[in-house]
Amino acid sequence: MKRLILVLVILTIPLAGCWDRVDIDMRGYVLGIALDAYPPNPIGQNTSELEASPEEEEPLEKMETQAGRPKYAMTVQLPMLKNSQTAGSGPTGGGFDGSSTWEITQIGDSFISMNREMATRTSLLMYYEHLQVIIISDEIARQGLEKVMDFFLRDPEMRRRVKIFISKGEAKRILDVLPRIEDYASMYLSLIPLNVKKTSRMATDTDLGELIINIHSGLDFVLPKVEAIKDEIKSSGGAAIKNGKMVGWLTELELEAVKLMRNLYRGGVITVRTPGEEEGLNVLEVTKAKSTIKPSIKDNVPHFDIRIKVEGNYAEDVNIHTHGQLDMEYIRMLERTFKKEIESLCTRTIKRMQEEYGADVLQLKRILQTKAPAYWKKIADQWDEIYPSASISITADVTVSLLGLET
Amino acid sequence: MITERLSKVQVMTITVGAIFGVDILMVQHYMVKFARQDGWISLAIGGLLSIGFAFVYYLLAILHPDLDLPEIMLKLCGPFLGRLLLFPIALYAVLYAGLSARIFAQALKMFLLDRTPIYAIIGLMLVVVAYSVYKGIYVIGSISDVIFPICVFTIVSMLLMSFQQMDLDRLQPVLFENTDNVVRGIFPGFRHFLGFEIIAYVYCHTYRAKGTYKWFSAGLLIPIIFYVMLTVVSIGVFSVGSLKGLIFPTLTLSKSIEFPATFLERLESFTAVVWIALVFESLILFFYMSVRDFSVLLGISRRYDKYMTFALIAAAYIVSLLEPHGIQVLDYFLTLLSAYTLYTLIIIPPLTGYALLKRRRSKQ
Amino acid sequence: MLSLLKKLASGKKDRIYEGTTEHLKQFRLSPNIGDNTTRLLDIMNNSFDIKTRAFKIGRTNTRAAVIYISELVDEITVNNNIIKSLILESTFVMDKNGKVDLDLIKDSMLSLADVEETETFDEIVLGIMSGDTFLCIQGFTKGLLISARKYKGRTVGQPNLEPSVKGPQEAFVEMLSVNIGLIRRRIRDPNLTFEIHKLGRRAKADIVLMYIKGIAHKDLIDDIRNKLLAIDIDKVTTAVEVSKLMLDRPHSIFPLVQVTERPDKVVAAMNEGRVAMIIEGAPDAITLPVTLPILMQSSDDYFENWMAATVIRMTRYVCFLISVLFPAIYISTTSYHPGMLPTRLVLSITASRTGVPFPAVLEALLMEFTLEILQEAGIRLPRVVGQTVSIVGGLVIGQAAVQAGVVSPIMVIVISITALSSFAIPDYSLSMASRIIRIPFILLAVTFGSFGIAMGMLFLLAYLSSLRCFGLSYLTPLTPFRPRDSRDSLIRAPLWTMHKRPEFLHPEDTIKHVPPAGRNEPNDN
Repeated sequence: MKRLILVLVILTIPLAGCWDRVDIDMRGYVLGIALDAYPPNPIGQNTSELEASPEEEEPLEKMETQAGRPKYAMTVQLPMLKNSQTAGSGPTGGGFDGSSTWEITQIGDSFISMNREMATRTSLLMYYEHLQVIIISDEIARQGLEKVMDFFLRDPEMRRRVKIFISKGEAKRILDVLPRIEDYASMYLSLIPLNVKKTSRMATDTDLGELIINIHSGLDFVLPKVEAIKDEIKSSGGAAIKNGKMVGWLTELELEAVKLMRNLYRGGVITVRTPGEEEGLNVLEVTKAKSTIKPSIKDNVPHFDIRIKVEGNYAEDVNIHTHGQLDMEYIRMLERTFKKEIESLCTRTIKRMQEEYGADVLQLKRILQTKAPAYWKKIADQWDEIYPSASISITADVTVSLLGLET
Repeated sequence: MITERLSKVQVMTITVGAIFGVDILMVQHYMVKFARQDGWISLAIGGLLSIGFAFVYYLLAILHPDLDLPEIMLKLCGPFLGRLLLFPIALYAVLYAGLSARIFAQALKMFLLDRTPIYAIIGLMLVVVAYSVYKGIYVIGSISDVIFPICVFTIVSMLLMSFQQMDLDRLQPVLFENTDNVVRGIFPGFRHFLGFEIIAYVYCHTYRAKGTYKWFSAGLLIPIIFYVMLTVVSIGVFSVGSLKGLIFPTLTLSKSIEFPATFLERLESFTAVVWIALVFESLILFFYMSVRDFSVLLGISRRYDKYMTFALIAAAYIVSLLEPHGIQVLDYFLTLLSAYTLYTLIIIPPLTGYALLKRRRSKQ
Repeated sequence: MLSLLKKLASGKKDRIYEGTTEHLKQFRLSPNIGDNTTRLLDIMNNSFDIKTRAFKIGRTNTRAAVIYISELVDEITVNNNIIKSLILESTFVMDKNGKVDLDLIKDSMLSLADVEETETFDEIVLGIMSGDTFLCIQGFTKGLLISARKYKGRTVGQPNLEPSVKGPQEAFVEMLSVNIGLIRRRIRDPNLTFEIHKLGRRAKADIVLMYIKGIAHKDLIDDIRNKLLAIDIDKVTTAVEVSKLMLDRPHSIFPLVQVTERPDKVVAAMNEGRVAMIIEGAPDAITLPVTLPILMQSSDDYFENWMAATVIRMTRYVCFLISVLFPAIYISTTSYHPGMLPTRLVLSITASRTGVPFPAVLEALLMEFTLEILQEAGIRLPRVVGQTVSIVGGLVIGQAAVQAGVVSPIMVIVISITALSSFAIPDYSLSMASRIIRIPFILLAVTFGSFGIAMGMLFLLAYLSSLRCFGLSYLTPLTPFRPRDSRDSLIRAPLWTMHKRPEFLHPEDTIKHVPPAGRNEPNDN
């Protein structure tokens, strides 16, 4: 009898409340977030006063801010899912009409309050565990990433594998894309970096976790650039981030060079002009690339020796006729040409990084910290001044192994 | 039919279960706070030292094959002094259990259940713990037998899968002008390996065959290896700077493993069960110790000590809910560990020495 | 029944009434067969099927009478070997004036195998009720009980609950003698012992304890026998009821005995060192003691290659887990932690659940309830209607419910897989147990999500670890872990490695067959 009573008592616990239970269709799965800057109010004016302004198109996007001024516009992308079973057996045979996503934009001061404000506009509970991408507009990036990232780091729902992109211009536009292959722009965008073995012109290994680690360790890094037209998104090139602020864009080739030097190159092609020919081009498809950076200290000045080892297959030539001519001598010549091209590209890139941006995107700081800690201790405070004039030498070594089907 | 006894394998699994505890979720964070990227070295040294200390307990246990630790203390020091020395140990067990439950509930709230109140989480946990402890040491042994391979396998696979995110550079430079930090980190590392005193409680229930010490050593080594590997991998994945900011790095590590587009995409669901089982096992072992301690303290015979379970569960429940600040609870926990470590370091070796002397004298 | 069990469990011996034949001990046979016959008919209330035949022995003037119950005896034998022998053939043994002697009759005239002398009415009545024929002779105070039984019943057929792909297709029937024959045919070991006891105050049913002496541990046999003899009850129909009365924990959700209708399983059990019991009137035998891995074994495992058998066996364990946990996991994953599923899966589940009126919990409980209805109805249906109902119930109702938008298709999938998994469990009682446990898990999942499931599993683990069947831990050899015995638990190792009997039963004779490199190991740990 005693046990029965105990069991009955315990059984009443579920009645007390299933505190966390939210049915699966009551959640709004945020697939992508876009962060834009909102033009700040002139000092002294309140949000509500702007409502009457004729320029405003989206009155629902404004909210009454409690402490700060509305500086950011956060757009979330939610999938709209129709039950194909119940809706589909109608006379028309069902099917989606038009867009199946909902982009909600909210303008406010802190991200979590914006997040919660969205609860005033939709019954769906915002759920971030399936967040695929975060797109940050370059305007915010230039103001400083650390300023806006805290919410994303602190909230336990955020996953460290969320991909981060910097958009050229308005970030919201990326989410508005109606992709052709996927249902949602966020999914589409998140799958693009998976092609990293085909080309190294997009930055990868740049998820939220890496971002946090780099910011906390005080390192500079590169984030991928993304831009879009109506139904396509492209990710190529990158943004150089120094001290948590974006300082400039890297072009596609520069990004390739950085990846080569940082040992992040996973695949891609290198094109050179055929020596001796005006219009001819030779292309190498890179299968393996490895780089090592060795620091050495001479007279209190650091010197970095970067060695890049590249192995690849001869992929294509354009505008010249090499059929039957690819013998070892030709190949060796090609290897020398490729080598020169890589070295010059890398040197150009690193020079621009040093002089124009002052951004240590190769993370040479870390090399010093790990390989020459005694020296690093001495000059740690002066790194920002030393870096632009640090001497970096690049040596490349190319091997062409296979030739495809033809010689 | 035949008297039931714990087997040698269970000695190993119980030892592992007692040493693994809620601190598996946090140990890397604290090691890195002291010794930065060499935190794992402090941990390894602390672990090896703990093996030596564990064998002091083991010796004490074999000298009194039919008694467990509280009874040994009473026998060696007499009823009054024995009880006096036993009381802090008993208190420690209850406080450890209560605080562990609280810390774990906080971690769970962050990663699994957001709005469920802490008292409900701890309540459910303690109900199941109470039932298991009530059923006796052999049930506890069986439970640890089953949990052990599951935990080991899952942790090993989690570590292996995190390898690809690791960057060995983050562990360097090794021991560069860091030696004094490493030394300072040895004691904090040592205190994480506490739990081996369980051997003094369960040895009297084992088969007492030759070679038990081998299993005991295995049981001591396994947590050391795992904790050190975990620290190494965490530093490699997160780097010292990030790690200093993470409260539960192990959980973050399990969340960060991702193989896109396979069913393993979200591995943390598998590993979540493992953390729960690990902390559960640690709780039941510590509760068992506290039940035995308090029973001997109050003079209850072995047959009835299981009723102590309910009183102690209630006490631990209250303890776990006392402090409203989450951060403070972590501090209390670590202070408790340190205090207890010092206490036992001072008390137990002389006790063992005394027991050895008595044995020598009685042999003559 | 319940109150009786409670009384038994509390250990109080509280006789409600006496047994129905014990009080007859006081009555002895009278030399007058008329008196005896009248008294016997009186005791048995003049039931119409009790036949009496009075006759004279041979050419002497001595009268004799046989009394028997026609439905229980082989009337041909009675007629030929008793009545005919005494009436006609007695002339070969006695002459006209010869004295009729009971010993003479017993030794020389009755060409039957089983003849016993008897004096007191309790034995006589019990004998007649069991199907013996009672012979009393005028002038003698002793009578003879002659066993010429012929029970009518089913012929040996196929097993219903435990079909096997390749194995023998014989199953027990309701007649004890036939069943014993089925077992004897398979083991021709003189050590195979059958002990017969009578059980039940009114029923006095024959119950047989079977074991192989020299393999089964003596203490185990004594323990079981003592518990059996201590049972104080009116009647038992099946061996399973008997087992419930003998266990320390009769209310355990998990079955603590193995009930089987296959003789080959009983033989395998006895060969391991277990003890079996079978009762007159029920086609099931029980084997004791039992552990969870034993219940998850099926005869088919031994007919296949060891790799295939291992995979199938592991699948069975997984099915057990699925059958218990799947609805709970579904609820916890969708309502509490959708972050645990891959993104695309979450989106498609959400799409299929939009518009469904009930929360996932209610859906799960509803479908669970429907499943139970279907299963119960399925047992009781006459065979002719059975097919229709399964089609109607399974397909139409499920499909219609989904299309009406009452339940989501995912729920139907979950419940179907759960149901199928529960049928993959070899032991019926075990699958019942899994059905019962499902519901608390659903409730735990509803309240606490996967934390609740984890806690439930740990509780289940503690519960299972604490179950003991005649001193044997229920989860042996998984825990306490015995590597030597694990060859036949989760996996099924090649037959040549299983040359010793499982250790956990402490058999007295450990070697089953001479292994390739034989080594004798001590029993005890």
